[in-house]
Amino acid sequence: MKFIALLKKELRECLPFLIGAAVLLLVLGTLFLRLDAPRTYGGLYPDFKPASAINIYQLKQSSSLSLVGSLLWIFSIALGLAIGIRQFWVAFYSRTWDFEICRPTRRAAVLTAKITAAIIGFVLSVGLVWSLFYWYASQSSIWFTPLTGRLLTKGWIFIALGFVVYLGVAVAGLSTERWYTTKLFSLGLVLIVYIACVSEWRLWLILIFLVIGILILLLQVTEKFLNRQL
Amino acid sequence: MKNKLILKHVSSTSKTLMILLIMLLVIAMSQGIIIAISHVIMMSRTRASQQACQEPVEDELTRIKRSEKHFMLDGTVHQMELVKDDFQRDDKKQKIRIYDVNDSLVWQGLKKEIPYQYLFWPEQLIRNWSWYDSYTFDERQMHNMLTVTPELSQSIEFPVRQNYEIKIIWRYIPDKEYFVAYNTQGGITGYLSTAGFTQQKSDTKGFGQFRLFTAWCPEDSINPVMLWQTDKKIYQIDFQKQTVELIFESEKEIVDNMSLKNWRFSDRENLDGIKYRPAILCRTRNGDQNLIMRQPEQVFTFSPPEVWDLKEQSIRLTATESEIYLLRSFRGPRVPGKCMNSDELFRQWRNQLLKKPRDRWIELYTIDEKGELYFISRYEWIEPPYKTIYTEQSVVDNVKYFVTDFSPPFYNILRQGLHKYWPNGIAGSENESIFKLCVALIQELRPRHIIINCSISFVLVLIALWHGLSRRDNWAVMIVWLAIVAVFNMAGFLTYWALNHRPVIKCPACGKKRGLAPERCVRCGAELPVPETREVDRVLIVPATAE
Repeated sequence: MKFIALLKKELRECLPFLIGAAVLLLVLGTLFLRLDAPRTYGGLYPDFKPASAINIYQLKQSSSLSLVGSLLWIFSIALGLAIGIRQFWVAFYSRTWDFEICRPTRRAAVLTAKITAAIIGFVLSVGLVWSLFYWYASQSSIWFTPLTGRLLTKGWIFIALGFVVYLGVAVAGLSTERWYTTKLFSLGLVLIVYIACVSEWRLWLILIFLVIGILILLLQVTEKFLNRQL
Repeated sequence: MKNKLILKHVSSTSKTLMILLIMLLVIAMSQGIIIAISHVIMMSRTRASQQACQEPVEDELTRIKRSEKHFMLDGTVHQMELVKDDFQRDDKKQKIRIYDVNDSLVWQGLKKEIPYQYLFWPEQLIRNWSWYDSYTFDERQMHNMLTVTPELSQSIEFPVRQNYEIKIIWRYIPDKEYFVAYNTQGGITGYLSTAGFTQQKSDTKGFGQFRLFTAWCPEDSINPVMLWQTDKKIYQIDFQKQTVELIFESEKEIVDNMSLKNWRFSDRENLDGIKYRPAILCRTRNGDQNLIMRQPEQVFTFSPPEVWDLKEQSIRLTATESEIYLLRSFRGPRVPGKCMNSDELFRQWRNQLLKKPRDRWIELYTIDEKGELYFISRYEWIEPPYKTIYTEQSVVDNVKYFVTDFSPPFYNILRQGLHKYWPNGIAGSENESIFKLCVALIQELRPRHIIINCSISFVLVLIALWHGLSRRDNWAVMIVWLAIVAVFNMAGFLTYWALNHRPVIKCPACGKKRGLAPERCVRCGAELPVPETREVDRVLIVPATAE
């Protein structure tokens, strides 16, 4: 019961960010999807004439969700930053850290509630909207060729990267070091994980990078949260 | 309690790993920035000195060097020089001058009006770096297309049209290595794989590891045909006819590159000149040249004699209606083995080479069906020595050598291991992504002065030891830290410093410095002194109601 109460409290605190991200992504995504919709195959391939070499650029086709993908990328990172700051930075500035940790339950339960709230937030906010877009574009695709499953996975990779950003912000927030020493180093690790993921094409390797990044950051979040005093 | 201890150890290890990674990145970035700044400064200095110098008069040797050398069928050689300051996008409109082997001007005018018939050679399919103007597509571009970018998803699709209306779209599926056809309703109508056209997915057989493709519309169609190169095979795929034709297969060797002559459609050079057979020239990794010809269909494999050093010479073949011709050209002496692993030795060797006049030659042969060579003609010339050997590279190299003294010593060991794994170097490796970036960094930033590099490591270990003696928790941890500093050099030292720099106090028992983290003094074993109880403490301890 205590955990549920804590979870509700965390979700309530993050709710403005979650609703904001979901609504903005839905509205802007729909707009972009409609803007992208008039594209048809009719105007393509003008240079395909007898006895001509084909410019490969004309053979590359983007999916109808490419613009929504850019939005998802921005919103995932922004949501990670927002939730991370809300949960792990604001308490120190508003001097409410003591109230955060001095509850009639273990600190681990408080931390679990925070992280669970963040995961639920990512899944329900950007994750659900992204899946809806994918489902909609698959149903009403004006392209001959259907969307691939890889496209859906790539969207979820962006969402996972948003979660890595959240953990990086959390470690930085909990760190007692000065900002000009190692306090912000966790964000450096986030950058490394991000570069590794976006420069890789094998999904299984991306998954490994994500797991390693999340594991390193999660361990530090746990250790710092359980041991940090004032 | 035990769990807490495990968590503490695992967490501190992960934190060390994180900081070490970032320090390695910061050091690499700093080194890169310093090298780039030195390069920019030296480039601007060189440019200024070049502008100060008078424009040198181009001599005859330089003109010969710059000219294209072309053979005629009878072995006559002409030098074709492009008239300077007459750059035209359409190369046929360019003005040229033609000289014979005695350097006498024999003709000048527009390129499209040349009165001679020269032999032209297959053009190699190479990747065009421009993303919007490329006629070949290789595995690196394929990988780039599949990465997780904000654009999310791209695919390679080939349309099949009737009266300019799309009927079928063929999409390449990278995971399965075959093509799928979609009709206008989005339904699947078939598959193209090595098994040919099939209607069932279960009947398909993937093409294998993709290397490169090029596509074109034939002379009688607006629908694409493509050459699809895998590791050891080349296929021709016609999407309109739904056919897959295996046109070349190498049993053991990997196909290195592919050049085309007249294969797709008649090339411009021979509209009213020599009649060429459509041909693909592909070189396998063992140096064999395979000429795949049409009209009639024939595959001719030429294995160069062992005395031909293919690191110094290049070979090209072309087929006219009556003969197969071979062009052998001398590109320059091979790099001596001892210079391969040393930038300094390589630079000395290269500068010595450039200071002297250099011999060059080309030879023309015909080959019969048995592979017998018949010499036709040879042309030799001398390339002039470079008037100025620019030293800016050596200055940049010196800066690079200096900054890489702070790189981890193990980069050299890693590089040797990588060289074993990728003998052709990173440029020739198929691997992209973050690994390529890491390998490139290791190759570029590996320490060149082993002794200086190890000395710096040693000095940093001593500094860390001096710093850590009073702050250490125990010797085991201290030794691990010293090992990290020794192996990672400056990055290791910065990591050590970031995680171990704590204030020290004077031990009241022994009078020596001691860190605040351990409970007992590392020298005398005395506990940390307890601060004296102050007035304010008593106020806190005694409840207010006691009054």
